[in-house]
Amino acid sequence: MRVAGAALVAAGLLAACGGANRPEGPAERFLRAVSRGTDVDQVEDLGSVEVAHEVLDGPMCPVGDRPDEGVDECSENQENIAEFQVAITDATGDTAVVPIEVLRKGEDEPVRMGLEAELKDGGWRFVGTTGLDDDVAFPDEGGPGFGTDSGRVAILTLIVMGAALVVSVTLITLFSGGRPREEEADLTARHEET
Amino acid sequence: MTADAVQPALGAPVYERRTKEYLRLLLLLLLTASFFDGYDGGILDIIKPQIQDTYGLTEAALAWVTFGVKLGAVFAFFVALSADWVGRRPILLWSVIGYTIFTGLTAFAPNVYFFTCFQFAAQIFLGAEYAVAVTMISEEFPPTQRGRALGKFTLVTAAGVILVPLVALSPLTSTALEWRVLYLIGLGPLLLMAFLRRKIKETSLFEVRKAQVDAGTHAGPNVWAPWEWPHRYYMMVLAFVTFFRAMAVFSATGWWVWYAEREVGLAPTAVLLFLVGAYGLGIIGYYTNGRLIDRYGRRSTTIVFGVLAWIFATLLFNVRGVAAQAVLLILAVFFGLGITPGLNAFYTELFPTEIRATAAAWARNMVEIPAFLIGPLLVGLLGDHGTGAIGAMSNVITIIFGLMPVAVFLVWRYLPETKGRHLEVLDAQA
Repeated sequence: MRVAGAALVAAGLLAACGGANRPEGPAERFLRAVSRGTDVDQVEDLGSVEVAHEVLDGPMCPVGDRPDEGVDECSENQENIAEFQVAITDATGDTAVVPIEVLRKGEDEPVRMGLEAELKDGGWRFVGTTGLDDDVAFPDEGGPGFGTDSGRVAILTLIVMGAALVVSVTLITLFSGGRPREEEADLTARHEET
Repeated sequence: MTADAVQPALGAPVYERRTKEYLRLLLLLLLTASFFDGYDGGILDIIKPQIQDTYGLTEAALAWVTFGVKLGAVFAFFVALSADWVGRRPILLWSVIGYTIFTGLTAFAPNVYFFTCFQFAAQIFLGAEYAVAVTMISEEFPPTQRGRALGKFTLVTAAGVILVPLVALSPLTSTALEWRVLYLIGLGPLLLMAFLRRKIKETSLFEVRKAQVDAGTHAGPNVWAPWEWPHRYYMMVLAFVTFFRAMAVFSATGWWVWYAEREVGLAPTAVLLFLVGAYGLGIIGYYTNGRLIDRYGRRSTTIVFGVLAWIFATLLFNVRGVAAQAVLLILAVFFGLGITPGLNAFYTELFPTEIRATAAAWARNMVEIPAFLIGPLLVGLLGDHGTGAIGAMSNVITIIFGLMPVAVFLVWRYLPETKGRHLEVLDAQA
């Protein structure tokens, strides 16, 4: 299943004119943040600072300041989000709504919202937040995350290993003509003299 | 049969044992040439976003540019194998000239088409230079020093790659020339040419074999000879080992930066710094491998490095902690890339002189390079979060890296130990 952010990035950047006008600032950071999404085996337990600052309704830092440089409002903002996850969305046309669920520290219930973005000037621009329908299923509710679960990855790995082994051993056995005899002692003769 | 007893007949050129001074000079010159080989080859992967902006490319177009450029390494096959016909020295010299000129021309590319063509041509000569340099080291250095020399060689080549992000981070690229400065720096080897031309000799093994071929006492080189029995056995084994290892390693190296940013969540600057630091420490693996293959043997060292590369790379793409990423990246680079000297030793020590460059060219350019192209492409297609069948880069890389233990098994099951081999005795048996 799909991660909304990665699909958004892929669709948006590929659709952008030539890619020369890449989105910068809040939209870029928002897209990078949500493209992490939630994969099927893991829960995100830390939210992106960029999501807190630029996308959600946290306090905004002065231009040029960064959260780790000691500005009180910005430092506090890093701890706003304990967990977030992203559901699936379809990024078609020139607008998109990315479903996101955020659990803030100190609160019991996560907040569900849609993050609106529009395709503009060669890139995606964050527009604002909006409400979300209750029927959106997030990964911890059984909804889709990105990737494949560990068990299936392990099985696929074993299948690939087995297939590679069988093919290579079979071809070497049938077509190599057999291992040549070598005068190994002669090849390493006078080794002690070098 | 001893190494001294296989000297050719009276009047024919004899195997000349090189002096320590010449070997030191040879290694220094080859290391310098290969440093720039690594540097020139590493530029494109670092500056892709800038190339995209300069020429106004989409991601898909950029992917095709990259594919077209890297395809040059496949054509390096024909240049590399010609070393068995015309000699190692001329191919080395012309390869250095070739990659230097086309790298320099890249800085002046007016559009993406010229850029791609110049870089395609540069890749041809970069691939040939690397292959011929490995052959020269193997043929000139005695068995007890060969592994160490190969280890240093691959380490310095990798060090050239590290220079690229350092230059990219420096104020040099803040000038009006931007990324073009990186390619202009690649003109450095032209200064080296004066020394190379005067000081480097043709390898003694090649000169002796060429004299035998000219005298009609030995068959000449044949592009298909590595695939004829008895060589076909080792050629097939090495081809599979090379393909599986290359698929695993290049799938991982091609996508780690993307994975680190998009699936782990590291900031882009942090990723670049991780890469420089981890790569800088990890390439010590080349030197370590070179020492170990001389001490403990090619088979055992290759097996240990292969197994550990598999373990650490699998962990790297399945553990998300920032500190864990740093440590695992160093170890994955150390063992995954550091395995190279041992494999290079197999390429050269299993085949006689008249087909050595040809066999190495088959293994590198016709087997390894396609894996270098196919592996990352598969990861991108299968791991795309939106459309991929697997849906995550980390999952796909984990699956593909399962090919590494298969390569290790083939080394254990089919390849002999070649530590200490005298190549002139191998020639006499051919």
